[in-house]
Amino acid sequence: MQMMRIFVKRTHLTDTLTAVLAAVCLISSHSGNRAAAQTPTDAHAKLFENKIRPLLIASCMGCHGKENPGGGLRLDSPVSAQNALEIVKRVKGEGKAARMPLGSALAQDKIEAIEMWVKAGAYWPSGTSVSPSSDIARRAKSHWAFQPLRKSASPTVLNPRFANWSRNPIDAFILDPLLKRGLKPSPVASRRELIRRLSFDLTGLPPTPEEVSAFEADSSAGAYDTLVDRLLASPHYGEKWGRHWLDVVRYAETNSYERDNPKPNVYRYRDWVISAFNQDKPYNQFVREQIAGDEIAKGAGDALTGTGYYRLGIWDDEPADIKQAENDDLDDLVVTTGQALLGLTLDCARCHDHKFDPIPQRDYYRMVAFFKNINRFKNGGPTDESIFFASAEEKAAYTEKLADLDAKRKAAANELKRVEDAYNKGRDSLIKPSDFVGLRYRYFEGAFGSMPDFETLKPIKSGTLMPAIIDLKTRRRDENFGYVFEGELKAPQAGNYTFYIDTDDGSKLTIAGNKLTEKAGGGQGAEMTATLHLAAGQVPFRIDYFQSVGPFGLNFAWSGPGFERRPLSALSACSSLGLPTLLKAELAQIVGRDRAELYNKITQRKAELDKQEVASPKVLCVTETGPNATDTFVLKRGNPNAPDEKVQPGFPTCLGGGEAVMPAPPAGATSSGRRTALAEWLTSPSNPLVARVIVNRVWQGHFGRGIVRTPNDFGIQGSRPTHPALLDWLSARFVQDGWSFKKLHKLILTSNTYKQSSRSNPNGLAKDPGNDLFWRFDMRRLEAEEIRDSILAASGNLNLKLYGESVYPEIPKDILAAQSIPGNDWYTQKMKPEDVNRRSIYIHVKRSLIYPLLATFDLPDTDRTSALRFASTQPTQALGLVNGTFANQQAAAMAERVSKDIGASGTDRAFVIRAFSLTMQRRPTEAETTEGAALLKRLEQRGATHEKALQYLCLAALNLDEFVYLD
Amino acid sequence: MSGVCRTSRREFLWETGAGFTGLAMTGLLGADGFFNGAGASPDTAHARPHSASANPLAPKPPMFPAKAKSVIFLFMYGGPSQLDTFDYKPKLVGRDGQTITVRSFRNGNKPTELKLMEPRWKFKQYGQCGKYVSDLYPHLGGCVDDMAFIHSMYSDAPVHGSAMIQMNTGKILTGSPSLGSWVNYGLGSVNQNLPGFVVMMDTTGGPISGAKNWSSGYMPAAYQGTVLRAAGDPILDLTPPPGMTDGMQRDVLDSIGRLNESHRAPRADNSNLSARIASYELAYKMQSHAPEAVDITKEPESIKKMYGLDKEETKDFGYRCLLARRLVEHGVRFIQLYAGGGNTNFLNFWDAHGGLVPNHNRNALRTDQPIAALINDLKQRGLLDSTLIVWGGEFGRTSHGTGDGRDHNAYGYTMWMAGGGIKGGTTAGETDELGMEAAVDRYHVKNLHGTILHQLGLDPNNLSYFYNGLNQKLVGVVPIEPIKKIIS
Repeated sequence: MQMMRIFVKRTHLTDTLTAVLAAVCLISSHSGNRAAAQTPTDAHAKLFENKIRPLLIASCMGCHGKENPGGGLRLDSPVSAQNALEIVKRVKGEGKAARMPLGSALAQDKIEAIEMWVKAGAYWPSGTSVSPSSDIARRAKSHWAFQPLRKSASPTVLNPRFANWSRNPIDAFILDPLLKRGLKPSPVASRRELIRRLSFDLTGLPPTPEEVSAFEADSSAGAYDTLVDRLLASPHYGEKWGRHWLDVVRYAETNSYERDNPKPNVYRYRDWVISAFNQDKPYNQFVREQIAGDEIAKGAGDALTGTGYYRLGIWDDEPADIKQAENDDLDDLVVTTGQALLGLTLDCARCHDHKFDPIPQRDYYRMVAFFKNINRFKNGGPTDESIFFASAEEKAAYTEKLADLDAKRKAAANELKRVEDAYNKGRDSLIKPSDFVGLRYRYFEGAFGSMPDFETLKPIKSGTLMPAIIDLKTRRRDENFGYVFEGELKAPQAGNYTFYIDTDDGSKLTIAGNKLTEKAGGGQGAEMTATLHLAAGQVPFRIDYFQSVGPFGLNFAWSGPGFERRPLSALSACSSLGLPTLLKAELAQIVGRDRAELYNKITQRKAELDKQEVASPKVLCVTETGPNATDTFVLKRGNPNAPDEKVQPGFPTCLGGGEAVMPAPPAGATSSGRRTALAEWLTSPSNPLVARVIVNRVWQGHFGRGIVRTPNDFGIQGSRPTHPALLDWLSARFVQDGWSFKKLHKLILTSNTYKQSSRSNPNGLAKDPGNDLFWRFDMRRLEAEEIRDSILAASGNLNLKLYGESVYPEIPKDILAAQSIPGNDWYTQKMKPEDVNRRSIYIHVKRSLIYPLLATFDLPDTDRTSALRFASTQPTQALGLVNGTFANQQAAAMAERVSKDIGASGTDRAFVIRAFSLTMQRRPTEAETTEGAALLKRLEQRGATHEKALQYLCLAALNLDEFVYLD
Repeated sequence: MSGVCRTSRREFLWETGAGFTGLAMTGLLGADGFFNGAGASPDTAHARPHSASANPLAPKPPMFPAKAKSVIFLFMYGGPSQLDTFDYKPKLVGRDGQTITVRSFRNGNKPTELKLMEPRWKFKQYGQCGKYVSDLYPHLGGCVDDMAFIHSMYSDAPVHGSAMIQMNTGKILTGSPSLGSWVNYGLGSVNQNLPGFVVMMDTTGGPISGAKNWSSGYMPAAYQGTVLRAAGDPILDLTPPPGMTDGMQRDVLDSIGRLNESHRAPRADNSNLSARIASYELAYKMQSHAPEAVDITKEPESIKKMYGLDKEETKDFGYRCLLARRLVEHGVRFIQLYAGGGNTNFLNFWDAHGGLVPNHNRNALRTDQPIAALINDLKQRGLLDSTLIVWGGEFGRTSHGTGDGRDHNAYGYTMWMAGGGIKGGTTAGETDELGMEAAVDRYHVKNLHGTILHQLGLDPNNLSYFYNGLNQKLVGVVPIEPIKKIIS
């Protein structure tokens, strides 16, 4: 029997125990029999759940569970009266039998609890068993977020004063608790406030002054709804809401660490997200494509782009510990998937069971198992990228380029062929059989490793070669043979003769008794030369040659007084030595110097063409190692070197658990199908979290905070929903509406809750200062991108081009100087002027060099999923907006624009009015106009030119609280 | 408060985004000690009166009486060789070129045959304590009685990128707040006219991973390090644009202030608006305070000479050491100085894979006199006791090498501290006799971080920030001990 380790913690008898004791006394005195004690009371149940069940799990289950119970005693199910009494004895250590549990005794309060429980009849809740997993199930059962969506009807508000306030069910959910707390909703915000609020919330951009005026003037009943529809249809909607999603999935375009190098084509994922929102791609499909787009789409369509999701994280290209790094990569996927999609901190269970949520460590690794088969990121290459065409034009352009390259390669090949043909013909004519006076061969066979002494071997064949030219035609096979060629060469006159010989494999050349060259074996294209003085007349020569395995070849030539190099062996004898070697030696002589040079040039060009690739547009995506997934193990203490139990992919126990069921991968499959199973589970309508989590994010996007204030943590540590019924109702509605974001936005934005003014009132502040109940709309500061985009909108420089590669607006030199290689990977100089004025979502996200204006205004850290943004207030923000180059450039542009708008006859006051309307989208008050005009005067009195004064006025306008805060 | 995962409500509110936006929440923050949130429930807290302060850098009391008020971290980027500076290994002498078998990170931490490389400089004893210091650091030799050496440092990453991140944030993965952020989160800044966490680069460039090294990670941007430049504008955008005189700027700011005030009046409950108005005044003051803090023209010649400003080799780092002292005087909480930077020339940082002799000669010469001057200058002003100086790189170097240079060594290396309640003339821990691995009283980077926090009056095991479902700590979830041996 194994000992269970017991963590001793002394506590006093709880109220529960006292209550049970009281109940027991009552029951005992009443009837004195056991049956009566079987009547469960709250106190019985509490004692069992709070004390006994955890105790049984912690101290007894190790030996007395379902499997092989020690002594036949099972403590996972109801205990007989006799056993119960025995248990008390044993835990107290009474009698001769061993005290239980083995090892340290139970703490006194635990023993007392057991005694109490037994005395009260060893109550056991009917139909339940006790086991570690049932404990998880029990804890899961008690937490709101793990329960199925409750599709409750919206409450009916009885207060007639507000009967008309509810525009849609959202309002009823909000109004009911408000009224109960003695609060009432705030009045509707002004039209100007509403259009600003809506424009920023849906597109991240300010409305134009003209749009505001039109909306203010439109008194028709449907004006507001029409506005919502127009903004939802705007392509800039995807830019705003896509950015929300990019925060959640830790989007960045580089890898962090030492090199922080760019990820290939990662911007396509960003575009895919923007476009998904613009198309109102249903959220379930949006999730499926990111989790398993490769498997679902079979590589076609833009679903593959969604799997860029897996490639967005930080990546160590030079890990100190590769196993650790691989597991960190997997952890990054579990963190992101858990928190982004499920609102669960699954990653807290990497080294041990989750401390708060019912997530055993095993569940973490069952989640890891879905991702285990993914090829580790390499920052590009076939396991990270796939050919992809964003449009038909892109595809056509690619096909055209490919055809063009192909044509060039073919043309070059044709030209080469022509020269080679000429060479082949020319070479034959160069050969002079009269160089030989008799040419005999002996042919041998054998597996020669080195040059044999052919004189000791018996030739298979021998004879005289006619015409007299060395060739290997008489061989019977291409490997393991040998030749001896012998005869006499005719030297036309006395002088120095050079011999050229190249063989694959070994050879020995002997002329006039001199051994001129010798090659042991192997290799090709290594021509040997030797020069020898010969008298005129006939000289004996001999070549010993052998070939073991591999391609064969023998190339033999000579040159001498009065003649250039000419072949002594046939072209057919040179198969493996290859044309290039021969051409190098003989081409110019045979086809002429010009053609030879041309040939060399074309050869070079062809090599370049062969190397060239048409830069096919590619997409960053996920791939797996193959259809059979790599095994996954629980890692003890999260240590990659301590694998424990092997696990299969499965879902968190607290959400119903279960193993993932994967169909056998079809023939030719390149992945395991595990992620498809995960995607299906995530998006099944019975998953209680995925819809709640995203609906909460949408709510947060409109109200500044979620119904659950911890959008990435719906676990026990997270905050509870302020309006649980509303969250469930909205979530159910969202699923019912086909997971449509735009329908959800419309529902929320057309509620009266959303339209409330942001102004406070004493009653609200006193009763609910945190606005938990939504008695008003919370003001919010614009997000970093909204601030920069608004400045560009005011100056008239904003470039609203959609999609495409990221841009590199100017970063002050001082900031670049802090890089280890200043200016590295920041390409402002390559930008066209209009590119740097694109919307902020298109600015390159380099993890170690975040664009300063965005960083200052709380762009979230890029390395982990970010659920919400800070809105900090710091003096460095003021420095940037008052002194910074960007702010001043835009202020100058804005001044020019305003001057043009008001015309040559425009007064200072007209200037102020226009400047205000471009920034705040309203006409300034009389006092504000006077303030502005006075500022212009003062600045000029101090010596500023009129132009500069106007610039500084615009700068002041861009710095106002009203410019960066929304009502 | 203790335990792994308890929530401090203050952090919790930040986590939920309410920290700087929710009007009522800001009041709660002002009333909350950063440390007392565990027991308070939002319901009881809501009843508290509102406070106008929403400044995340408002000064906060330490958890217990602090020895140090400021930290100057002298970061020797690239990894200086402990064997050629402070870790005296006589047994290594005379063994040049001998083969040994030691584990090597280049070979998957497996035992590997490598050639020893003896120290390239001679060592001498200095001070009352008789500490051996090499000829690379003669000036510092004169300060050993104020310094405490930790010879048994080790960390988890033997490559620059992740090692830098670990030395600065405690983790080898990027995305966590840096030490300076933790200190400012824990203590705030006493001088609101200057940043509380200042970083100064070497003139040759920044370290690898740039701003990641002083990032506030998952904390608000208010806690990130501000780069202070030795030349030109000390802080980004500190100077008004060309043509805008101080008077003009004042006019612009006054107009902004008046217009903001009339916008705020009907929204008086929103303290973020008043905080933003105040931030413009802070920025204005910073414009004069920051240049004043870095203006050394009024420093006497003797001081300039002391820091080596009169010599080509020492003037750059000397100037920055002098600035560090001035920043300490101005109440800046955490100052990090990089010695070495820019990866375009290997001589420019301590990474001596080859050319150890010219490399370390250059880098030690640049830093020796200035650092000694910093210690002595702080001492003569009575500031050394409250200023903690930390010296070291992201790792050390191996006792084996090519004969010309040494490889990275995260198994064992030396760092030292001085001032701020550190016991001078002491030594903690040892490497093995060849100086290859920490052998006696091994100290992880976490212990170093813990010691720094401890000297500042912060309990490293309790200074936490709630993020990602966990009370995150600089030193991680497993409690650590500060290096008691060197604490006075």
